[in-house]
Parts: sequence; structure tokens; C-alpha cells
Amino acid sequence: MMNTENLIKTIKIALVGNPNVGKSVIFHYLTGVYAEVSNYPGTTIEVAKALLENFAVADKAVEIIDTPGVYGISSFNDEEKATRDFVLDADYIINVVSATTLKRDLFLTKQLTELGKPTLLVINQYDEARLNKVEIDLKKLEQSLGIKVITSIAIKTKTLEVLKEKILDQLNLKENTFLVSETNTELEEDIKEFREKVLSRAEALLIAEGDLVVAERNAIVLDDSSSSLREKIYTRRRKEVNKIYSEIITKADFSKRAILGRLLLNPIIGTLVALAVLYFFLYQFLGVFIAGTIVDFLENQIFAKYYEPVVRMIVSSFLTINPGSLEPLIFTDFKAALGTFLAGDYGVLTLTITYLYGLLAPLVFGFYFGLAILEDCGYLPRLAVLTDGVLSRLGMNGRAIIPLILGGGCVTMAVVTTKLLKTKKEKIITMALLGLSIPCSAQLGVIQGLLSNIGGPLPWLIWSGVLFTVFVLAGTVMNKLIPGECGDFVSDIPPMRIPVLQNILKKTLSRSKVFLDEATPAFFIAAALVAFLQVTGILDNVINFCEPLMSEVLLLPKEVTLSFILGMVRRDFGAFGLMDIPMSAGQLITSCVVLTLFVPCIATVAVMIKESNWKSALIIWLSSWILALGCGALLARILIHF
Amino acid sequence: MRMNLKSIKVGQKIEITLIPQELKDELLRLGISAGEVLTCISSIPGGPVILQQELQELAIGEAFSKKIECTLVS
Repeated sequence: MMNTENLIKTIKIALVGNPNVGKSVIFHYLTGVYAEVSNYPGTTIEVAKALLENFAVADKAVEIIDTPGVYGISSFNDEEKATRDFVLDADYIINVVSATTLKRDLFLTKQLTELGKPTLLVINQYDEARLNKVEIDLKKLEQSLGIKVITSIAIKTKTLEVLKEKILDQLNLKENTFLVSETNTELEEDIKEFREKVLSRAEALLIAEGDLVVAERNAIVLDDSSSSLREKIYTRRRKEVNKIYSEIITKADFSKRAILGRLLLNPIIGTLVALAVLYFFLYQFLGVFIAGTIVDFLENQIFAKYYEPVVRMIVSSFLTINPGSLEPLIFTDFKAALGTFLAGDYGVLTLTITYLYGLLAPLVFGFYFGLAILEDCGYLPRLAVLTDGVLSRLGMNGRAIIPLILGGGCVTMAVVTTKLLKTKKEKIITMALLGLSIPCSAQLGVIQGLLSNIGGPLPWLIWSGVLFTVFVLAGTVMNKLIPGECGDFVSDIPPMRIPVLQNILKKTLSRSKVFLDEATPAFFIAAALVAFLQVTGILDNVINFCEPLMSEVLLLPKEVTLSFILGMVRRDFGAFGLMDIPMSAGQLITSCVVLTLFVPCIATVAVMIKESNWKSALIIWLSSWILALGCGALLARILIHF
Repeated sequence: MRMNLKSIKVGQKIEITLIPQELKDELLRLGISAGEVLTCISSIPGGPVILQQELQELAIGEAFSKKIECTLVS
């Protein structure tokens, strides 16, 4: 039997607002848990939930939900659907708006109040409005909306104490701070038909606004008139909001303009800055500093000098190790086979650990650190605007720049974010280009290292030139071949902000952790597989079997085969080992190009199948074979003359 | 004079006169509807038009900007 006395009631409070209004910072303050704060509309698809911090009432738990930023609630996209369901489920709503874009934000506010849920309005980024001498008549706003309004500057946590007090007042039933506003009669008339059929008023409004998902849940079939009803409700709401807005803004001076944010939208200056960012971020920071200096120090000084010798010493005290042997040791000397399996060249204990923590971890950390800075200062939406024209000619649009850049961190993760793209065509093309021509950070790091060994910027230029050509040509061809539209591009551009170091570090750490948690087991499996192939002699056979392909077609030494095989298992895994194979400059460049173009790793293919279907994934996989070998063969024959 | 959004130049102030049906709801939410006055702050050749109203900035891709009609205010 259930003991009713011990039942804890969970009260749900949803944080709802437009993108980039500071919801996540407020969530962090209320719960003590970090949620990703991003400046690109739509980066937070995952919803963070946590209990209200330091709230101790015996029979109650209070859950705060950080919903994805939306401009309105309906079923327009995945974020909206998620937010809508959390709003419908919530007991209370905290609506966060930005003082700088009230006219836009109040549309959602008005919709929320019309849903009939107890709501509290927080006007955040109040300092930024002050800077522009915007003065807001808060009393008047409270009257017009019929709910309570407070202001905050979320990055200064002291200003959030008021919010916490208001929440506690409501929960302790001291004062009703979350109010349900009165609705107007015209709206009631519009939703009357559905109110009779549906229990919840909120759902009735959403159905009246043409939300097909909610309608279906209530077994209501919407006809063609639903879109005109939505337009009627939307238009009236927009008019009411505009009227409220014109009444509450008592003084404003918009002459102060963010000069930097503007300059980045200028076609010429913006392009130059984008190229400079690419050069400094990818080449100088990731390639030279992280992949060169840091990884070199960790790999060669720490792991090769202190870690690996110790492991080898321990293992060899009861087993024997035959480091570079490709003999089928397992049949002749089991002790040596096991020792080599554990601590040989591709040993599970030696190579995997060195590779994971000496090479991959710093690269992934470096990549996400740089990306977090670009994200939090508001640069990415501007980059999306600048690249929209070019990308739309390749069958995508500006939105695709986010997955494409993320691909430079981990192609698998990037494929997951193709969710943000609206049409099927954009999705497939972005996915294909990610699989074909975007190197992930570990691969990028090793390739930078290899290319810088040759010296000078020329190898780097050849490598990136080939990739760029493949990217553009493949995109153009797919744009012609794949039917459908590449989608509209309408994007709000948030102001440039100085990133908060604490947020950058938290974001970098949490993303790197997610990546390493996922990569670590996969690496052990891959290493175990290779070590197994090595000690059984199979590896030797495969390398010999592929020799004609390598030497005749790509003009490369046969040992490179191993890198390619590993690349199929995990893309970033493939680049290792290339360092130790003696090759000419031309051969090095060729193998770097082939490796980058070569098939996406198993994890990426799995996600591709999930996000589209196995047919598209298979086509992408097969065409990367053809492209990689074709380009490699061609390049090898050109480079041999120099 | 009637024109489309893509043909306006940087610095020009325009009034929106017609938004195609498929974009109406999305733009209404963002605060843009017929009758609104906006300033063009940038236009990428072959790419989006960037419009500003008070502190809000908005980019509209080339294909759609050609479908939105407007008149010149100043």
C-alpha cells in the first residue's frame, strides 16, 4: 500500500524565453547546476532540469526546467515542441525577456499569459537597456499584462535575489507572485469551439493556433481554416504587443550602435575577419599551439618518457613484449602475444592511454574552448549571415555553418546537430559534406603536425585547397541532383557580448567530458582489435593485401594501410602512426588528403543512419571511398613531379 | 515606389508593405509585419539583407528578401 504521508509533490517551474535572453544563467543561479549558455539561436536543444537549490520544505520538491529558447510556442520546430510540452506540464512559468528586445520578446510573453498559467515576468539584461537610455514603465507593463514584473542583470547574481524571494513567497503561499492574467473576450470567442472539446485552456489556445500535434493528442482534426485562425490570433497579439510596447517605453536613445557587431556584418570586413578567425583558430591555435607545442610536450615528454616505460616495465616483469612485431605471436609464444597486446606499439595500455590523454584530450579541449569563445561573444550568427549566400548555392543555408564548424571538433556530434536544419535536402547535403571533407579535431591536429614537419605554409595550402575544392564541387553537384528546397534563412542577430571566462571554461569542460566519455570505450575496443589483429598475424596479411592499392594507385608505402583501417573504426584514430612511417613530402600530403576524405567513422555512420536513413548513409560512405582514392591518386601523380 | 527587400541599399529606411503568406507567422513573432519601418544596415552580395529596428537586428536570406515588398521612407 502507498504511504501517502511520504509522497513528495514535485512542483514544476519552467524557465521560458527567446534565445539569448539569459535563461541559462538564471537557471544556474536557481539550481546551482550549470546549463550550457550559448549565443547561437537554437544551440541548446537538450533541456536541463534540476531542483531548486537550498529549498527545504518537508513534502515538496521544486524542479526548475531550462527550456530551449523560442520566439513563440507551437510546433514550428523541435525546440518549440519541447518547450511547448514543458510549458503545458509546468505549474508555474518564469518568462525571461531581454530589456533590449522587448518588442520581439513580449509576443511570447503575451502568448504565455493567454495560456492561462501562473506566470512571472523577468526583464533581464536591464543594464544593456540602460546603456541605450531605454526607460521602461514597469507599473504600466504589469497593468497591461496582468502579471508581476521584475528586472535583473543575470550576470550580476545579486540582482537575482529578488527573483528567488518571489519564487519562495509563492511556494510558501505568502504572496501570489505568479499571476494568471485576465483574458480578453475576443480571444475567448476564437477559442470557444475548442474549449468545449478540450479540458485544458492552454491546449485549447494552442489548437486554435493550429498546433497539429496538440490537436492530434486531443483527437481533433483541423481543417484549412486553422491557418487563418492562427493568423488572426497572431496578428491581434502582435498589435496588442506593439501597443503595450509603445506605451511602456518612456524614453530611448538608439543612436548608440554596437560598432563591432556591425562591422562584422559588412561583406568585405566580415569576410576578412572570418578568414583571420579561421587562420588563428584552426592553424595558429589548434594546429601550431595545441597540436604542436602542447601535444608534443605531453606525448613525447610526459607519456613517452614517464608513463609508457613504467607500464612496459611492469608488463615485461611477467610477460614479454615484442613491440613492432607483426608475426603471428599468438601461435608461437603466448606470453609475448599477451605482452604485446597489452604494451606493444598498439598496446591497449600504452597507445590508447597516450593517445586519449596525450593527444585527443588537449585537442578536443582546445577546439571546444575556441568554439565556446566564438559562441559566447555572438560571432557565430554573424558568420551564418556571411556564409548564407555561398552555402545556399551548395544546397544549404547559413544555419548549416554551425554543424560544419562543430565537425571540426567531432564529426559525429556535428551530424547530431543537423537536427537544427529545417529541410531534408539541407540535412543530407550537410551530413554528406561533413562525412566527406571536414576533418575532426584529432585528425586535424595530427595532420597539422605532419604538414608542419614538411615545413612552410605550402603543404597546408595544398591540403586545405583540395578539401575546399571537394567541398564546393560535391556541394554543387548534390545541390543539382537532390530534389527539394534548401530552406529559408531568417535569423535574429544577438548583440556582441564580452564572454564570461567562467562560462567558457564550464562549457568547454562539460563538452570535452561528454566527448571523452563516449570516445574512451570506443578507443579501447579499437586498440584491442588492432592489437589482436597484430598478434594473430592478420594485420600483416591485410597490409600485404592492400599493398598494390597503396603503392600502385596512391604511390604510398604499404604501412599507411593501417591508418586507413583504423580511420574506418574511428576517424581520429586513423591519423596516428602516420608520423612514424618514412615518407616523402608529396606522399605525406597525399596521405593526409586521402585520410581526411576517407570514410566517416563507425559512430558517424550510425548517427547518419539515425538522422536520415541507411540508404543515404551507405551512399555517403561509398562515395567517400571513391572520392578519397580518386583525389589521392590524382594528387600523388601531380606531386611526384615536384 | 514598390520594391523588394533585396534591392534596398545600406542606410535606407523602408516600410514593409507585403510579406508572403509562408513567412508571415514567423516574422510576426519576431516583430516584423506590414507597416513596420526598418533600416538596412548591411546587404551581403548574393546573400542576406540585414535589417535593424531599435536594438534588434535581423537577417533575411536572399530568396525570401526578394519576395518581401517594401517602400522607401528615406
